[in-house]
Amino acid sequence: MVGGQTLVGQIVSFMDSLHLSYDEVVYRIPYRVLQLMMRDKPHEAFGTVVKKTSGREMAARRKGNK
Amino acid sequence: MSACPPFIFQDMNKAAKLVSSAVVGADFEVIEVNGTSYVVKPPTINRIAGAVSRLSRLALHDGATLKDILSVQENAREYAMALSYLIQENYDLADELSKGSFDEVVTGLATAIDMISAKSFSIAASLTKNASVLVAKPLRW
Repeated sequence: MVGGQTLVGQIVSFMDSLHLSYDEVVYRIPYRVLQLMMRDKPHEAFGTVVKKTSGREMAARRKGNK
Repeated sequence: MSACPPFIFQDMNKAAKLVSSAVVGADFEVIEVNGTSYVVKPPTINRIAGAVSRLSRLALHDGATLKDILSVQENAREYAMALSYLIQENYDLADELSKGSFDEVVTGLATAIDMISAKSFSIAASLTKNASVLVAKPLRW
């Protein structure tokens, strides 16, 4: 993804992602709160879930199979 | 219930304080210039742009801290203009702020600029997360 290098680009990004008006983004909500909202906004995650298995868990499973 | 080290609560309290004060609008700083106290709220994009339009006229050089960068220039008038915009979204306070010492104006400006970044939020949040995992890491049997 490209863009978002200047404040103007970021204004559009904030408006789109957070569904806020221009007035709210530029005049009302502090910049750091906008950043926090963008970062912490619930979103879908894609990819595979990696499940870590410990040695103890593997040994317990092996014992259970016997 | 297991005992929890006190530093965990300190980090959690810090994060909670930062976020809750941001939500209720209590995350302001008070600066003092020429014997007068001014409240600086976390800047909006408009305030940042207004301050940057004044600071962009100056030739600033690299420095270790923000205060070092600002201290190189001795143009307190432009700094006062920038600080005025960060305080109340216009340049009306510039004359009054110019009467303060250079150090007061630079300290005030550095304080206001520090409030732009969300870094302190992220640091506090990640500390809390890491600390809580250390205390209550789920065991798998």
